[in-house]
Amino acid sequence: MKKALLAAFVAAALSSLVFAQEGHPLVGTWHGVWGPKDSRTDVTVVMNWDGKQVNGIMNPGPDSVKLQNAALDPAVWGVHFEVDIKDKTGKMTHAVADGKIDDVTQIRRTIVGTWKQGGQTYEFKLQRDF
Amino acid sequence: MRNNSNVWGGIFASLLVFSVAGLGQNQLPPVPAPLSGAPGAAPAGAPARGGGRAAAPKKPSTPTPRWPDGHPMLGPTPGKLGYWDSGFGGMTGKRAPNLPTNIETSEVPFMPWSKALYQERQKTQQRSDPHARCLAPGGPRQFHTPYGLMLYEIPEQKRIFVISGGGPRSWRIIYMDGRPHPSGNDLNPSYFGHSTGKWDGDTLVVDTVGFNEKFWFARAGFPHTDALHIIEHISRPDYNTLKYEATIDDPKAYTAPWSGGYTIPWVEGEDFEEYFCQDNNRDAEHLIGPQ
Repeated sequence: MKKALLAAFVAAALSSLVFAQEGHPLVGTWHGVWGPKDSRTDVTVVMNWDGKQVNGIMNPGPDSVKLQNAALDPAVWGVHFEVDIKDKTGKMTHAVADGKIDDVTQIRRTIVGTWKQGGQTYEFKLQRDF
Repeated sequence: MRNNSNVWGGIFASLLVFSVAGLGQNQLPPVPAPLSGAPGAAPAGAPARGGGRAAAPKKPSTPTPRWPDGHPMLGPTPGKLGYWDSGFGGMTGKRAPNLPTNIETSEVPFMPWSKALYQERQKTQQRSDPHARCLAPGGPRQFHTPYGLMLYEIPEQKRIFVISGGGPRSWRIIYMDGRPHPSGNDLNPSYFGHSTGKWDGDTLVVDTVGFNEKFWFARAGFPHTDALHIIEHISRPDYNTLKYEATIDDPKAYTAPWSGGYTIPWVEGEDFEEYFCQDNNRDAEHLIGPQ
């Protein structure tokens, strides 16, 4: 119960980020998928910029996980973040996402790249919410 | 990147001038044009407002109008009409009507991400500008949005209203009663933020926080975050000139505060026309940056 309340509080605190649009390109809520084409996994990523580093969570809610080593490379609009998440068997694994922002000036911009998890490399794509 | 900004600004200004000129020929009575060459006059080569009339002979401006308590009157004097001919000027560069103290764009203390985003906006010819989609112009943008600007001071209510004739015809309140900014959840992020003002001699000093990230605070497309804090210095050095300067303090987008401003000429004897960006807005479909 305590964990759920804490997660709800964090999600509520971050929900204001949904409305950010023209500031730091990563700030906001991103929805998308990762995994093999015949078995996509839905993912929601919420990112923020505190003036020094990118931070955020993946899959807001009771099972949210904190982003690690999140970063933006503005020279190529490269995006990197890592997460520790459970795989389909419930085993904790480390995932590394590397992508690139496509059309950074657009509100509905996307991040497309690779998602490495469990020794496999998959595609992933995220699109920013309004 | 600066050149692209100037080109786009020039196209926009030209469209503005020609559309206003067209209106003026058919609908507006003759009015004196802003003083050519005076501080705040339109850039060289730009036709005067009100039907493309030639610039009026240069004559000295009358003194700054004042309230009974002595501070400058930033709007029309009692019984007269007029408005500020906004639409020109920028936060960087020294070319008139910009202030000679302005820095160049290359000197703006960008963070790497904000510099890259600014350059990307120039590269795409600012086609993602929210203002072209009729969103409100917060910060300095309100003072260089075409189709006029008005500042109405209501001493009884200790408020100054800043009213835009162009864009989505929006308005903003500057509280002059000494109240502090709201804090925490009471500071709801908005396009114009929360503004408090006070007089420092003949200069109105306005402190604004609580901006959202849905707009560009200047036509050039300088990025900002929700940490944006703007301090504006507004004065009327003579009857025909409004001097506007803003300090941009956003520690999440710039490595240091920076300032820029411009002068805005007075149009005597008329109110601005009714205009709504939302009415027949064709800007967005004509923004032609790379697809």
